[in-house]
Amino acid sequence: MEPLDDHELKQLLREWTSPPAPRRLGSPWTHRGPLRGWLTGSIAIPAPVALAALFAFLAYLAWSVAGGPPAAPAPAAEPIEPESAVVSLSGFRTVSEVVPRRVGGLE
Amino acid sequence: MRAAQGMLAVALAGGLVPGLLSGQEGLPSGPAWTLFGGDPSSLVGGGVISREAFGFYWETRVEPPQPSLDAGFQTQTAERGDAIRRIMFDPRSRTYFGYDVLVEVGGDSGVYRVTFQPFRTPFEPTAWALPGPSAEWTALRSPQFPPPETIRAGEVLALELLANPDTGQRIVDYVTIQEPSRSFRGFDALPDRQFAFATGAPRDFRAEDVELRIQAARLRVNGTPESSADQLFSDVSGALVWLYVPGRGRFVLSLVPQLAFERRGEVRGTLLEFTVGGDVYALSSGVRIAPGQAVFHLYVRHDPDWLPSYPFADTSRFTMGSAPNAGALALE
Repeated sequence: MEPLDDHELKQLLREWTSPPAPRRLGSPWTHRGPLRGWLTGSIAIPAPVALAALFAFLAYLAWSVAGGPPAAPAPAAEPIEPESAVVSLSGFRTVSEVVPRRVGGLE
Repeated sequence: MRAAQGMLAVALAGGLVPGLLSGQEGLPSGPAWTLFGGDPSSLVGGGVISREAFGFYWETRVEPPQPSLDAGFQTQTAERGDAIRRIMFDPRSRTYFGYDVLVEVGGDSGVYRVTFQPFRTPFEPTAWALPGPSAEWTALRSPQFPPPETIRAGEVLALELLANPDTGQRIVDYVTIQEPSRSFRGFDALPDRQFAFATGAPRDFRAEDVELRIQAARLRVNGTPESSADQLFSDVSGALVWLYVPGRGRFVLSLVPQLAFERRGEVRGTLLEFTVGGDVYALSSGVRIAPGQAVFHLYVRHDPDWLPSYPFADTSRFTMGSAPNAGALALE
């Protein structure tokens, strides 16, 4: 058969119709209208994804029953020391004898 | 000829001690007020007397730190002839205590003979810019001092001088002899040498240990220079640093959040800036204000009615001070 030129190919393409879809595929949503598609349609979800979602939902449920997240710790405010008594130099007494202690040095 | 360099960092337990003294009579030269603090002890003063051949370095600590010493407590050092005079006094109770130190250079290099002894000349309050005649002042009894000690450069002596029978506190001087604080090598001025001696067992570093440091502050309020700070060369450092601005009260600054403090500004190297009541305060320091290279939040507590109340306070001048914690400031 001689090869067709572009014109003939375009003509042939216009006359060609696609074969009907297998019955197991059902009708696409767009053919059933958007509302009916959402109500009667279905989507395929991989089993691992479905299981992960299920576990996440169950974990959330358990966590909610337990009382929710722990309360955020209050910012650690610096405790202000209670106002203490003041001591005067006159309250001190001289030691009887000054004994120098060597407490540090360059050894 | 001995050159007295009165780089006397003086502190009051209430943050009310002149920060730097100069001159041989130990007269206050600037309105700097410093309060130090530590864990097992509280640093209430320190400084150095430099002579040609050595420097006499000292720190005074109260052990344990609480209760704090009265805000009027001062401790200073000055030269009295051959002797170095260590003195601590409380203007409110008109009480003082002190001793003289003689330092002789030993025969071996780096060895010194140190003699602690009672005052060789009478105490004169006016020489220390203190109020009242001598008769109004009461001296704490002089203790028995040890025979002359021979120490090597860098060795530190602890001298327990006073004890409070009610609180169990002790006032201890830590002294050492080292090379002079300020010296010259040829035409080069060597950096100032400092002495510090922390007491107690080591522990892990905490954020609260970080100190702000401000030296020779130059302050602008809404862009206008605060003229009373123009000639201020004092140096303060502490976990809390406060600024008294005439007519505007006191601003207590902290690098970490504290109760009754609000995040109001930032510290950027040698500059800090904060805004309170719509007014912008910008301060330039002669040294780095906070350690590290980052920019830090600045937490501020404003006491608008606060006025300095220490003896001879000049409320018309900008003043700085510091404290180890908020509790210490509550004493003022």
